[in-house]
Amino acid sequence: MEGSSDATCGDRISKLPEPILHHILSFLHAKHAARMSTLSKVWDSAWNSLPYLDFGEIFWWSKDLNVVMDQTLASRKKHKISMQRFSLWLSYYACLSYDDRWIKILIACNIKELNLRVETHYYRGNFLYGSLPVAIFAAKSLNVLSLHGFNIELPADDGTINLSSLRELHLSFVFLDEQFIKAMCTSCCNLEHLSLQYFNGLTSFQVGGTLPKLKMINLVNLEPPDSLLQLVDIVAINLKNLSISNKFYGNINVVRITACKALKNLYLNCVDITDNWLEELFYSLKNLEKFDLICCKALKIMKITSERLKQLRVVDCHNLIAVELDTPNLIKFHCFNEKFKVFLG
Amino acid sequence: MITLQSSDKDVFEIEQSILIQSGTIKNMVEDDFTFIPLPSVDTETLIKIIEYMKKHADKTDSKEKNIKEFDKDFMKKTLNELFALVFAANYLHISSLLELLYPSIADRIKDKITEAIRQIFSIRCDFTPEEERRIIMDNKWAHEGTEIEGTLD
Repeated sequence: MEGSSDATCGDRISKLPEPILHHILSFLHAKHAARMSTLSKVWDSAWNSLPYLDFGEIFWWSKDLNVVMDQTLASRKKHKISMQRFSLWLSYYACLSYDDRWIKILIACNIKELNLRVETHYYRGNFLYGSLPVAIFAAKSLNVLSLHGFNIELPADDGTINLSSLRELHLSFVFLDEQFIKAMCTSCCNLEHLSLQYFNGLTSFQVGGTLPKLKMINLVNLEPPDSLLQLVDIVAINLKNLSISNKFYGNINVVRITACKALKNLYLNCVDITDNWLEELFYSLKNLEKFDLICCKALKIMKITSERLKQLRVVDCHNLIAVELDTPNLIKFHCFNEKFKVFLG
Repeated sequence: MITLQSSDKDVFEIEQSILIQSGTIKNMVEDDFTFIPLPSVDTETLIKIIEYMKKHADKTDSKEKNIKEFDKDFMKKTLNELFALVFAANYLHISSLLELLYPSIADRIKDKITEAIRQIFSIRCDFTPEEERRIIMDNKWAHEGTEIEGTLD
């Protein structure tokens, strides 16, 4: 049993500087952090100034909680707390749509990280998405944005967004269109990491050289018939990691990435690339070190010439009959499908 | 080699390359100090801090899994030991250790009722009865819920 009173030290934890108490509380759900306020004045102050609000998964939503949210945010605005992170997940049955008002308060508090999630539902052959408060597009202090379950529609008036400090954008189970991607490419000049998972609406994904800091892109497509994506065209001179996955053989038939000269790691799953495409890829992308190719039906003969390639993994490409490698620095080569298996390194 | 002295006056001789993970020690070394007294860190805690820094000094890729295992075990300590480490890591500016300690301590608080936390941390209530009533009312929403745990460790 834990010794509960150390006569010489007494209440040590409350003597820690408030920023440290904040860091500890930042790992708690807002509910548990708020409970601490009844302990003593130090803890009441620590909760009221806590710049991390994680409202996690809310099943127990009620009208009163609307008031709680208003009060919690209003108090932080009043005391000019610089908000670090705000997370809120609402289940479909929460019967409450995201309030524009809260987003505006968070923006006034210079919010750095925002995670909003609403559960999507499949109803009569369609996904039902939540509606996104458009105030979000004016969050110019935001560094990290995660959205799940939303229909991403630009503001009606001029359709521009101001997310100029955004470094990471994570979108999952969203409906979005080319207009949004274009606006993102124009505004998010500091974007480093883009993740689009299980998205719908886009028929083409195009990034046109306006995101110089972009280092990582992760695209995961929905299954057909929901996935509409046919074209991927990326120009990003500092892109190091690119991953494109379909969960099943999809419709992507055009992939243009040869302008991404800094690319080091490439992962393709269920993307039908041809023998020629592959040969040209390695001719253009001299910095590729790691290449994973999973479930590609179209590939018959794999010819790779690369000085820098270190790891190559080719899995379940069932029409592959020959592999020709001129790769002096290859240390790991795994290739297996129905017909044969090769494991080197 | 740098000599560290704990509050209990025990001395430890450690290589500079290991100790520079502490921002505080790094600054003193840059000012040419070779003997560094640490009046707010006791021997027991200092031994643990040195153990941590030694393990983290070699950060090659192959050691990464090894280090993760070590970190997991390192956090299996009593709350009092963790507090002592937080104070020391804060004073010595060892941010990687602090990043480990925060969630570990939060984990111990997470599901406990207020009374249990008050006892574990020996927190004295300094509210007037009226203040206490008001705070409980304001935060009524936080006290509703199912996960209630009253153990003291």
